[in-house]
Order: sequence, then structure tokens, then C-alpha cells
Amino acid sequence: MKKALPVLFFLAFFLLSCGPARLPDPENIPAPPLEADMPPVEKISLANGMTLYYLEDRELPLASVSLLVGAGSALDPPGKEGLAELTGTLLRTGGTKTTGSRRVDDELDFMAAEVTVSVEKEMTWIDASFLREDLDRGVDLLSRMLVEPAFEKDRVQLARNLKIEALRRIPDNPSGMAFREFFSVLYGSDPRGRLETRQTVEHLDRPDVLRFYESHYFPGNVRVAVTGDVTRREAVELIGKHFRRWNRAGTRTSLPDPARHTGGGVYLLEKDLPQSVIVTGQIVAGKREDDYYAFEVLDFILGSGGFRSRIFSRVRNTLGLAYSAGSFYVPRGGYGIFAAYAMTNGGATARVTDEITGILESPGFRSLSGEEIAWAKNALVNQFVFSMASAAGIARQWMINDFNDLPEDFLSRYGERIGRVTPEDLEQVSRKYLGEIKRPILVLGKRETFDRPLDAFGTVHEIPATY
Amino acid sequence: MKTGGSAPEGHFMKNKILLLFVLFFLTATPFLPEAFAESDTVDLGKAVRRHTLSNGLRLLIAERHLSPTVSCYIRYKVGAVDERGKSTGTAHFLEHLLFKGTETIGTVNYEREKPLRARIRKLVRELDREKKKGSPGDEKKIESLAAEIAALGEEAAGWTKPSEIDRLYTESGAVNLNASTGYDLTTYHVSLPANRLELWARIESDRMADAVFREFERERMVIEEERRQTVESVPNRRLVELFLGTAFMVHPYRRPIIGWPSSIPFLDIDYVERFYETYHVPNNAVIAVVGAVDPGRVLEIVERYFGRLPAREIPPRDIPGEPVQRGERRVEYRAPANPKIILGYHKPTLPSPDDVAFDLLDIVLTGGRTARLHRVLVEEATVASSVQSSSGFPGVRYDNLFTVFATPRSPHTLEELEKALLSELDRLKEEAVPEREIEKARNIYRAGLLREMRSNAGMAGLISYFEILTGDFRFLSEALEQAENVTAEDLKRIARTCFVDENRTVAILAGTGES
Repeated sequence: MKKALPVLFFLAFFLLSCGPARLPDPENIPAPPLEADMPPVEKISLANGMTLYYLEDRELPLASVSLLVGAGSALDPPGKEGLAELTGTLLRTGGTKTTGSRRVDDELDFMAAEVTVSVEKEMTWIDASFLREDLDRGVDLLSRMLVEPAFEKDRVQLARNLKIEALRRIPDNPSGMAFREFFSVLYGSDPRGRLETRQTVEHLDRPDVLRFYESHYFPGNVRVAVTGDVTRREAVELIGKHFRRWNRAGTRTSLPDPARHTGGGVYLLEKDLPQSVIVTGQIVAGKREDDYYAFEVLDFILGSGGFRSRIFSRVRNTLGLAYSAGSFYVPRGGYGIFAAYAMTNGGATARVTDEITGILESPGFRSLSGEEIAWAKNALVNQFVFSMASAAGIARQWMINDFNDLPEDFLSRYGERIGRVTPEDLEQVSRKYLGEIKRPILVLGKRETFDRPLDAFGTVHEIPATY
Repeated sequence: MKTGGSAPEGHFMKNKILLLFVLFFLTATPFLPEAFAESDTVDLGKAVRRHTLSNGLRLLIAERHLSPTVSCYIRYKVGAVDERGKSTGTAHFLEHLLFKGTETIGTVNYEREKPLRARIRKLVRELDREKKKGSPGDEKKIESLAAEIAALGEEAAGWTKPSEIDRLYTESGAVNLNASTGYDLTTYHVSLPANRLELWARIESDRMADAVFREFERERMVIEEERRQTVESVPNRRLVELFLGTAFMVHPYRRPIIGWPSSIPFLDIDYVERFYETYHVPNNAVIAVVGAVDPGRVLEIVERYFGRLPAREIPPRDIPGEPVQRGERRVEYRAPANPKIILGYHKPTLPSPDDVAFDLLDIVLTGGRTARLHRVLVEEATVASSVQSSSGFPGVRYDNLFTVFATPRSPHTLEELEKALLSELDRLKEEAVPEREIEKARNIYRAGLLREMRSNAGMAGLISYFEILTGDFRFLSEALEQAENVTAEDLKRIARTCFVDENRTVAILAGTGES
């Protein structure tokens, strides 16, 4: 800028001295062979029915303890939506019979422990990270939370009120609101489709929480992983010592997989915004099905594979009509969720919906050169090493696999199975799950700004936001 | 800037930061020293090495074998603060454009593509000029220019391989390929299978010097959508924008990184290019490579690919200082959304010795469930549903703000919440923070840094951050040392100078209810 001359000089020098010709073709950069053996997780059955997963990682003086409990929000009794989440929250915040909530909080904070609870549709995770030297006391407290929770009255009230406030604020995050409503539409009458609202949460009380806890929290419904700077012996002793007394029997509540045919239609959520959120999708194959592998590749090509994937490439790169656009596939044991989405200015709503629909319905895999398929398959196979990036992450996958009743070699055979996916497989799954089945489309935005009415995509149902 | 080769300088100090961790945790560890000492020699000993190339590029390498992967961070000391005032959003725009390829990546034949791109550029310049004339503009001319640009774009597309950088990376198994633009820094990062380091060097050295700003006219539209999505549709982000525009009158921390809506459609590609050539230079960059790599080979590859790039003189930064605030400022944003409040107080940034004390104060106030603002406001008085704070907002290269973000819990009002917040801040000025509470804050501070190092990406991010900001990644260990020495008296003193009425900015989202 101020020094235009030197800049020009350097530029000239640069172009002369190291023109692009000297750089090797990025296609042919050598990649030495990669040694990638996933360290094996040890699985240990405990006398009280819990399963312990152990993997060592001694680099940093930290240890993680994660519990997976089969107590997700799909188990909320009708009319009591929000109960699984409230119960999970209160295990952490509601105190224990021997150690009150304030004392638990004080101790955990003083030892800089992290204990978080996340409640999903089918499971609840309790994840803890402790410094090495605090592990014994940390697991002690964790076991008290699980085995002898107090669900202190004022903490129940606090957790409920905070949840109500969080629900009240849902419209302040439009894309979050759109996805929440879309999943509800997609699951339809399945229990996974029921949403918690301020009304359902308002009526939840301590006896509800106790009942939910007693029905779903028992050792046979819990998997625990201990990973990090801890020996196998220590891990076994630690979990044995603190959880041994937990002997309650129980029956797992089985949860049938959701129905796959959810029907079409346009669901319009009216909100005064400069931008529309468009989501469409389908319930598709799960990890126990052969179609899973082809669908992984299909999803990558359609919209989860970054800049080159079709939705991103078309809607963002070619048309400049979105910042976020793409797809995702969340596979579970017996089914999976697939959704494609974009956020675009109101005036491009129908246009972008059209583009996404077109991409989903006519992928034309047979007519392709193998290049696009090779790109997706190579990517999925090559990035597999990241599934072993941390001991806690590896153990987590093992727990999820067992929760979903997958074969032992599910992870180790992933690359090989992806490698075998053919263009015909892709053609077949795209027709089966996207081409021949009607998909619901949800649009959140301001109708009067749309470029065209949306009835071209199906019957328009105006829906209120549920929160 | 160093000259004359790239002798490792980190030899003696390389273990210091990890050693410090060892020290802290050993002294705090009554019963397991053997196991830890053992693992220390095996794993923690793989510390950070630093090399400076002859062109001034600084390289940090840490070898660790958690998994056969490597994380690579490139940070440039340039960000939104370095933009000229009328071109807000330039640094961020440039970051987007650096995914469009280079002269050798993303093209079928650059010689054929180049003249087309040059013509598009010239026409866009004309079109922008025409549009800026305002209404009633020459609609016919605008239309014909736009059509011509679109036609040339189609033609150029025939010579282009779109998104090649992304394709090369994803196909080789890269994850978390992304970039971020801050007020202070611009960062490009990616994690790869460990055997793909050379591909990374090939791509990144090329886009450090030889980027081609393809399709820039369309990328401005993408950024308009980005702003609609992340700012215009999110009341909280609008509030933060207003807050910063009020707390800073002169310093560029007052401007949004993404740019004002009026400047994004007209971002000037010639200025972007000068910005790129000025600041995306090796002597303004730090690279961190962390993972299952052989440090000698990393150095060899980085030398080979980046060593060829010439250093350039970086003009002195011309950033206006913020005048001392002499009275409370308030700003209100009315929107159909739920209420929120932000409080900010000007404070010095690092390397001020008080910077770490502010970090601890931040933890005392909001670091965990037992932190004061959570316990008192959320649990006891129940006036808030959430409270967060930051000890260095919105950047750290220049003096910044201690900032508190809070949401009232209905039916409590913003007024009640503000009063409760202020009374907790006032308490810090009168009562000494008990030693156990400071000790707790130190524990959380240390553990936070340690947890950041769990992943290769976290560690690469951390060391490159401190290296580029302070000139030495070992500042991290200094900060840890300083944290040990912060006293109750220090906390009281900084609270007394900082948390005063005339130094305060208050931004309120006065919700007009649910939409």
C-alpha cells in the first residue's frame, strides 16, 4: 500500500524465482503407508450387570469416565415430555442422599472436574473428566449421583424453571427451531416425535422424576467407559469399589424403530426473518442394514462431503444463494435420519427448495464417471483414522455399537464395506429412500417474501411452533 | 525477523511448558507419582520444538502418537482490525476466497482462464461503481453489465475445477478443514491422516502466495447470506454488534468482522489483493504441526515448500487507540425476542501482568456452577437463567473489555438482573476473595489448558495462538506461573480500577416479547 515499490519488486522476484511450474502436481504427492491399528477396547462384565469399557492413554494426567444409560427422551410418558432430560439434569445437580447438591458442586468445581449430562432420543450420556489425582473421589461422587440421587426439591424446581426459560427462548435461534420442528414432523406419531413444551415441563414434579429414574436407571441398563491416565487394574477396582453396592434389577424398555413412511407435504412455520430455513429428509437405513454403507457414500456425495458435494456446490458455489447448505445422515441401529437443508434469503426460498429437491430426486449415479464416487469413497475410508483420535472417543464408539447390537467387527470392517459400494448400489438406495418416497419439507420464514408459493412442493400446512 | 537458516532454537526451552504441567500436577498429586513420572518420560517429553525459517516463518512441531493423524494450524497476524474503515469485512472475505484455489490448483488451463478472470474483475468494478450511484441508477447498464459478467463467468467456469482445495483435502481423508477470521488473527486449519503432511504443505504454501480469487463476485453474495443467517436472524448477535459499536468509539473492535451490510456487496477485490499481499506473508505467520510425525521430516517439508516464499516488509499497523471512557454508555436494541444484557468494562490486554488476574476473576465469576454469578444469580436469587463472562472480548491484540453476558429468567426483569450483576461486581471491590476460591479458579485455569491439549488440534491451536500473539508460545507457561501468584489483593485492585461506572457500557436487548 504505502510501500508499493518493494511490494512490486518482491512480486516480480517471486514470480521469477518460484513459478508454479516448480510445484509438484498435488495429485501425485507421495503418501507413505500409514500404520493405523485401532487400539482394542477391553470389555469387562461387572457382577452387578454393568459393562465396563477400558482403554489406556497415559499422555496427559487426565481420565474420562462416561456412562451410557438406555434412558432417552423417547421414553418420556405421553404428556410428560421433558422428563428424561429433567431426570438427567437432576442426577448432576440434584444432590445425593449422603452429599448435598451444594457440596457436590463445590467439590467438583474445586477439583476442576467436568461432569455433563446429555439426553438424546434413545440414550442419556453422563460424561466426566477428572484430573488423574482426583479420579477416586470423582468416581465416588459420580456413583453417588447415579446410585443414591436425592432429587432435592429446590433443585427440581430450579431445573424445571431453567428448562422453561430455555424453551421460551427457542424462537431466538431460528435454525435450531426449524430442525426441532422438522424432526418432530419426520417422526410423526413415533414417541421420538413428541416435543417437550413449557406446558409439559411445567407439570413435571419430583415424583415423576423418581419414577423415571426407578424405571430406567439400573446397572443392567448402564455401560461405563474409563479411559485415559489409568491402568486396567485401577479402572476395574475403581468402578467395582464405587458401584458394587448398586444391585437394583430392572427391565429395559424396548423401543421399536420408527416407521419409515412419513409422507410428503410442506410444513410452513411463519416467522418474520430476512432468511428462510429449508429442511427436507427421510427416515432411512440404519447401521444394521446392508444399505448403510451405500447411504454413507450417497449422503457424502449429496451434501455432507464439503464444498464438492452436490447441494453445497450448487446452492452455495454456483448460485451464491446460501452460506450453509448440505445434508447429514445420523445412522442408528435399526434406522437412520437423513436431512438436506439450506438457509437462503426469503426471495430465493422456492428456487432453493427446487434445487435441493432436484438434486435428491435425480442423482443419476449410473451416468457418472467413477470420479465422484471414488472421491466420496476415498474420503470416507481415509478419514476413518479420525475415529481413533482419542481413547475416550474409541470407547464411546464401542459402547454405541453394543447399544445398537452391532457385530464386534463393525468398526474394523467399515473401510472394506465402503470400498465395495458400487454405482448400482448408490442408484438403488437413492431410488429406494429418496426417489420413490414422499419427503416432508419444512420451511421457516416469512411467506410474503417468498419468490413463489410453496404449493408446487405439496400441500402446505401452516404449523405453529411448539415450545 | 531471523536470518541465516533454521537452527532449532527451542532446544533448551522446549520442555518447559510441559514440564510446568508436570510440576503443577506432581505437586498436586499425593498418591500416584510413579505412574505419572513414567508416562511423563514416555509421552509428555514429546514437547514443542520451534524453528524460524530464513524468511521469518515460525514453525512449531510437537510429536505425539495418540493416533496416526496430524493437525496443522497456520495463523497470520492479521484480522478485521487491520482493514481500512470503509472496507469492513475484507479480512473475512479474503479468508473465503482462499478456498477458491491457486494458479495450479482449481484450473484446467490457467493461461486460458486468467484473461477471463481479469475481464470479469474489470466489469465488476464498473458494475459496483454504477450501483453505488444509487437510485435511480442506470438500470439498463447495470443489467447489461451483470449479464456480461455472468456470461464470462460461465466461460471461465469451463477452465475451472471448482473447490479443488477442498476436494484434494477431503479425498485424502482430511477433517475439520476450515478457517476463521477474528479481529486479531486469521487462521487456516485442517487435520489429516499423518501420511498426508506433504499434500498440506503443497496446498498451503501455494495459497500463501499464489491464490486466485475465483468467483469473488458470487462469494460476496454468499457472505450476504452468511450475515443474514448468523447476524440478522439472531437477535443476540445483533446485540453484540451494537454493544461493540458503543463500547469502542474509535478502535476498530467497534466494527463487525463479517462487515456492515452496506459494505459486503461492494467489497473491493483490488483492496483484498493488496491486503493479501501485505499480510499473508511468511514473516507474518506461525505454523503449528502436532501429531504422529517425525519432526525432522516436518522441518524438511516445510523448508522445501514454504522456504521458497520471500519475506516482505509489513507496514507499521495504523490502528487508532481508544480514548479513555469517561462515563457510562447505554444502548438499547428493540426486537421481537427475549431480553438479554451485556456489560463491558475496558481493561488492559496481555502482556499486562493483570491480564491473568482478569482470567482468574472471570473464573471466579462464571467458571462453573459454584462461580459467584451462577450461584447467586441463577440459583439463589433466580433472576438469571444464564450468565457468562469473558476476560478479553472481542480480541486480545489491543486493550479489550471484561464482558458479562446474561439472560434474565422470566418474570424477573432486566433492571433486576442488572442490579444484581452490579452488586456482585461491587462486592469484589470491597471483600477479599477467599483463598480457597482463588485456588479453585487456578485449578480450573490449569485444567482448562490441559484439556485443550487433549487433541492434536487443540494443542496446535493453543501453541500457535500464543506464539503469534506474544511472539513466544512459552507465554503459556508464564501465564500459568503468574496464575500461581495472583493474590486476593490483586483481584480487589483490578476490580476497583475496572468495575467503575464511568468505564461501563451496557447493551440491552429489550425484548418486545415472543415473535
